[in-house]
Amino acid sequence: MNGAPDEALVELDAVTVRYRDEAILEGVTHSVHRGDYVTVTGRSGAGKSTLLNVIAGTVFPSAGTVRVCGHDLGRSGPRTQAHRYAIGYLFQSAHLVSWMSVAENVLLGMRYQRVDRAEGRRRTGEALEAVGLAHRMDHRPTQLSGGERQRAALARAIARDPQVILADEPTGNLDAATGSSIIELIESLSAGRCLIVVTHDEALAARGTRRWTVGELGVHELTRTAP
Amino acid sequence: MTEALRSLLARPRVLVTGVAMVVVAVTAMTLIPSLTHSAGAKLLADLDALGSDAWLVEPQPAPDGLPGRLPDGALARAAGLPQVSAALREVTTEVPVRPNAQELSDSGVHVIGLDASGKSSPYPVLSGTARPVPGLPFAVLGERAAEELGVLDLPATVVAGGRRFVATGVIAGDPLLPELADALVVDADTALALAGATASDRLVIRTAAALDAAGIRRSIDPLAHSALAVSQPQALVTAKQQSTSTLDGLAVYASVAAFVIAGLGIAIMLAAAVRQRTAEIAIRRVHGAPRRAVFGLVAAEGLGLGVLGGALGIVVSAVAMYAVAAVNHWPVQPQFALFAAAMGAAIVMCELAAAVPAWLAVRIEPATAFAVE
Repeated sequence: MNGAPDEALVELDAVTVRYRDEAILEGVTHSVHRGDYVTVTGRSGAGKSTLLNVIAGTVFPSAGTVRVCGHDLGRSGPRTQAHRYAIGYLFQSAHLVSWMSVAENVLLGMRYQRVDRAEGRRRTGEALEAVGLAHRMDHRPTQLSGGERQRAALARAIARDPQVILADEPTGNLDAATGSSIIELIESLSAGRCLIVVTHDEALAARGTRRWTVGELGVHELTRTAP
Repeated sequence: MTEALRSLLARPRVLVTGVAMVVVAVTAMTLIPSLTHSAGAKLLADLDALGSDAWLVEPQPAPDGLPGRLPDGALARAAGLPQVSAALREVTTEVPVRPNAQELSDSGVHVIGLDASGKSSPYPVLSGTARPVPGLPFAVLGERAAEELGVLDLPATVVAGGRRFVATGVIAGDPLLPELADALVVDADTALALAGATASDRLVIRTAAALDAAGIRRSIDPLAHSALAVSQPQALVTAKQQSTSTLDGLAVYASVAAFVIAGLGIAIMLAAAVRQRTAEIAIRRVHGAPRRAVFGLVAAEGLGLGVLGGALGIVVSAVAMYAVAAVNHWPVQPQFALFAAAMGAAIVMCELAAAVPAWLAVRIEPATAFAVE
């Protein structure tokens, strides 16, 4: 993790997303800086996940500019790759590959970053150690509990050494206690990066230093506190 | 490739079914031609025995209406053609034959003159010594001729054209020269001496070489003194060509059909597998996998199926080939080029079959994939 403490890691400039002529987001302009912890709320279908996908580079804006760590999102090719390399993405489901071991799933996150094998193994060990799954690295995902799977997914995300961590309802499939421990883990491992979490959980939403709500085609900042 | 194989191992139904389809296709491609090759070789040998490898060289009639004559040395030159297995000079006469000192009208047995190059007998011998000796009054009888003339014991004396001949053997009719069964066979010069200008002669040449009529004509009569008609027994030649093309066609159609069916099956299976792996592919895309890497992921699985199925298919085919050959007492001639071609075809077929599923995989967009879930 390198860079200035207040460096803008995510910059959205007049971003509009339309799907079949229907606007989902319209003219969104925001920036997120290193150390920011943004929670995003809003009703279902408002465009929260679309916002994360736009930042992740998996949905291309119909208009406007998205920059992550200074990389302007291209529609495809190396620019998109560089953009995606800077991001760690957590989903409601862990989406681990069932026929791979936990360690291989973590390595999969670095597969396309051209991280050399030894470095990949080192980072995998560290990431699994950080999430408390070092002893389960040779297990298959089917042998893990729901919380462990989500921790493995977190290890896969942070092993990439991302500057931006996106989490789309990461505790949605977990019980309260497990979800809470996962959130604490995500927060601790996001130190020095920026973290953007989509959630329906008000308690979780209140933990962020910034709070956005998505609705009326826009993204509105509700609160902003010092990190 | 290792990852592709592990991915296939994780879905044993796809692996087993896909490999089985390739095995069937490769087996069809290698085993059917091999078996038709063996069976066809026997059929073609039978057709050759009937005379499909024969050329007939006949002189045109003389202007006075009498039969023409082959040029001097024609038989020797015919024997010198490439890959000749038999060269015969046959003289057909109307000279009747009767048993010794008996009158027998319309016996139906006539004298035929026959010279053959080489030392072996040109016809199947049933009993006795069956080769006319030039200059000596020895002859052989066709089996029906012997029956007609009442010759039960050998040697026997018969009369033809006022001369006595000692029949030393009995021969069967040759499929190409069935008239021999009804004849007294002497050497060609003797037959000509008996029949005079009314006898007609011709050459029968059997060769495995791909010759043409003009070439044979030039070889038999280099100075072109005679007008020679060169032909083949057309019905047999046509039957041989049809047999060869039918067997080759059967093998090709069976192979193509097996590969098309296998290809469609594998394409459908891999497409279904891609649908099941939507989340995995989407995760790879989220983590920066370029489209070509996703395409390569599915293509590598196709390659894996092709290599595994191709290798196993060749083994199955070889085992089956030797087993069938052993049961039927056929010689086995492994066609390594065919095996290599089958392996290549299996890989190409699997890659083509994987192309559409790979294209479907490339079209998976993470946002859409996770939204659907």
